[in-house]
Amino acid sequence: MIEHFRDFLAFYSNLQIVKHVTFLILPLLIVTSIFNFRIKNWKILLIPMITVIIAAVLSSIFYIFYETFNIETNSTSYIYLFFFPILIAYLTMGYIFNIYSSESSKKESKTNQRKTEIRKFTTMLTFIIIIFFLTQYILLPYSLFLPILIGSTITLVASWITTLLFIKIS
Amino acid sequence: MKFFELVKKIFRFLFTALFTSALIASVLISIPYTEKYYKGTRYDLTLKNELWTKEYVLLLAVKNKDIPEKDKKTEETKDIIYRRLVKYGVRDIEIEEIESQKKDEARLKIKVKSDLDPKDVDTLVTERYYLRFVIAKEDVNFEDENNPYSQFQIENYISTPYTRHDFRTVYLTKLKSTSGEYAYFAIFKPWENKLNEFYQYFDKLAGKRGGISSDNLVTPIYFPTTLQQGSNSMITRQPFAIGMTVDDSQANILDILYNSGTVPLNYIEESVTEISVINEDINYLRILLGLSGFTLITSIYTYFARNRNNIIENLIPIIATLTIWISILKLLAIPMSLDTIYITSSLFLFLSLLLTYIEKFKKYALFSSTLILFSNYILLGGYVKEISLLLLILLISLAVIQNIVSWYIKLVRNSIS
Repeated sequence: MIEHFRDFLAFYSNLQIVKHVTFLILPLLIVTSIFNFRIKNWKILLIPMITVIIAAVLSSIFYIFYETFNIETNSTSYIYLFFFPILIAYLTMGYIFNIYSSESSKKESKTNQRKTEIRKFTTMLTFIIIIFFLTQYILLPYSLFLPILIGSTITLVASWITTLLFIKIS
Repeated sequence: MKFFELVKKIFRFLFTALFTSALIASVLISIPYTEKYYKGTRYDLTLKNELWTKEYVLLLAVKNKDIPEKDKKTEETKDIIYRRLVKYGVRDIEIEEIESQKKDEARLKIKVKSDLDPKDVDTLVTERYYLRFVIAKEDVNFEDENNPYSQFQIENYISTPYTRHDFRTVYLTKLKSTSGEYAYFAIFKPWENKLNEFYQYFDKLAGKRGGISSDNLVTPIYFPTTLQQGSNSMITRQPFAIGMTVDDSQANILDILYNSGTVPLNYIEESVTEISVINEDINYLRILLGLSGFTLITSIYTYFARNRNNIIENLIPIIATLTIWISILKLLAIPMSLDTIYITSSLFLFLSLLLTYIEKFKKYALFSSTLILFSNYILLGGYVKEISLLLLILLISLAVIQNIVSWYIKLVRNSIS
């Protein structure tokens, strides 16, 4: 039993992805525990966590897919495939905390205002990502079309899920 | 009172004039082809060495006793070589195992792409660096002029039971040597449970000739005296420190080799193939035009969708941060590859434009993005680490420049009115 467990651990520790996931979870825990003092609504704290986890899981799946099928991987494709979606997920998380940390958080009108804010933010994010994707696609001389497309899509999916969750919960 | 007001006004005027000139100068220096039109000084980017690619095939020898654990040990070897290359900062690393018919051998194909010193990368890939302390044989004449290499030959030494496995870490640091010059010393820190045994063994050898063998080549050393008697007859123990090198880059390589894990299998380099690299032609002018286009479209959108009044106030700090960074790279001739500059600039523009939307970087958004960049810098290696650090510096600079610019704009508005 112990042998099996050790083999299992050895297998997963050899995958670099474990290291990548660690770098996601640690700051996530730090950020949420710091903000927890200010925002006393655990549901709201949960949303950004879900965003980051969705982005991380999707990125990891695509990264493993890349590694397994030996599609040409390099640091630049890693940046677009993994680093970029996570960075944006964290920024979205910061934005949600921004909206929620305002003083009069209990008023009904404030809730609607927040919903509008987050909808506007996601629309803006979608627009910037599309423009960013197009600029990168036109500018980059090498074949980074796929990682940029996947990275941008992951970012969009994660941010839209966050928005929907936020609207539903709050 | 009036005098102070006047002095204040003069200083404000001087500040606005200086800041405006610095801003214009940084924009002019950072844009491409300045040197074509300005003959006084050259403002070229100092680019890093060109990228090279090599493919190594390593033949791993599996001893009979290791055959049941062949896969695990091969995987461990793969991992250690990967760790070494990431620590050194190699950009792209691909390691795959080639299927081998024989039970007692395994093969690894390692493909690297880098702009770093190829010799160092060769050392990190092809040398197993299995470390073992050895003691000089008493009957060997190391001063023999006919055989000046006797001190490096393994047959002139007796093995000790101490290998890298017995040490928690090998700490490389600069210390003053007996000649008064500074050199890198390796401080061997044994595991706590082996501490007494280790010191008992080496205390008897203090001052005697010995060596550290790695891959059958010995680096000669004199075993250090670790026990020291103080003036109050107190006996203290000094660290087990051995002088290694005076060269910084060599010390870095040694540090990586000592502290990335012990390769469990013996191996040799079967082949090395240099692969020609097509250095992607990234056009500086095209990048500038593209990124300017991206900034412009996004800013126009932000202007209509959000903060109509602050478009200039938001754009100036972003442009200033980016142009000051590129000007510093140009003026101080800091070597950097063009695609690093490009990717960092693109991500920075993306992040800063989004942060601008969150009106003057509200603390949470800035905090969470800097935290992820910082943890990325700490945990990951190589190229991504470099980009994270650059982005982190640029974001922090942007936060500072944002404050300076809002003060500057206020001053300009006052001067005009």
